[in-house]
Amino acid sequence: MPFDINKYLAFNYFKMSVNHPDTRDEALIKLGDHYYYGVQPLRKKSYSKAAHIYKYVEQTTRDSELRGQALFNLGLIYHFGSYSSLFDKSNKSREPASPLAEQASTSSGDGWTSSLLDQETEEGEKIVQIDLDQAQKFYQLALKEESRAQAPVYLLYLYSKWQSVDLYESIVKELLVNNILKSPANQLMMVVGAAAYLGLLFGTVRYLRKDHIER
Amino acid sequence: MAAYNVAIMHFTGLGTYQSCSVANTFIQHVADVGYQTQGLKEAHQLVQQNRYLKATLIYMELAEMGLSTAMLNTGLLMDKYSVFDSEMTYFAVDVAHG
Repeated sequence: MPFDINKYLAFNYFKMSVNHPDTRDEALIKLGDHYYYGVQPLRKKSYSKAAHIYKYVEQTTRDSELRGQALFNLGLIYHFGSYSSLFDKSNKSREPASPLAEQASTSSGDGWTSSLLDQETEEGEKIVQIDLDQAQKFYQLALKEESRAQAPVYLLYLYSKWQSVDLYESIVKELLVNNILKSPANQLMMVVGAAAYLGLLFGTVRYLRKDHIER
Repeated sequence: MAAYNVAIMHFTGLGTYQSCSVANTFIQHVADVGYQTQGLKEAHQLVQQNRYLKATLIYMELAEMGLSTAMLNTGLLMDKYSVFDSEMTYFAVDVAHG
């Protein structure tokens, strides 16, 4: 990563302005962004710290705009979790290892998987689990705030809804097997319909290939 | 000037109790209403004219005086517009990386 003096100084100035009550919330949001993206003075991303900061801002601020932004960022963190760090080009060597680590952490129920990951890049980093219900809750709260950015919040809310719906489970199992195929009349209808469809197909093929069959 | 004197009295404990936080409040008030706050307006006009480097320098000067708005604006300008040229800062690379 090339050296960038602007990020260093900006980080320090944000840290200075956190100490003053009238600029605390906005500076904390920017610090949370620094932790979320892992820009220069930090060397690594830390979603758990960013989530911590955003939660603090969301609970303490009186500015509805800032609260909406903090809630939206919280929803993003819980929507995609630490998994989104896979899409970095710099972390490509870790790609096969990380899903395993995430599976292990979900099975054990604990977030501390620093031994499974690369020690240098994610040392002691708490992994944020993907929690779609939590994300939807935060998105809904963000939609209630008087924030300017309503459209992306709503789109991501719909996307998380879509992700949380299991299509095979809901359509095939619930609707078809449990509801439609339970009554014998419907089963008979299905069999008759399938037979009629196959018969129609066979008749069409026979009619179209009539000349070839007779020879 | 009166607020400044009250702040110094609290800071040194002359005639009243010694309290850094009270002194800080008064001295903050002095900084907030002083003539230096004209720099905030000037820097804001510079930002509107897209002259970010000069505005950042003014904001940095005000931030050293303790104006929290100037601190926040300095950070925002540096974060958004990359006002300083990073390739000219050879001296800081060794300090930063090790």
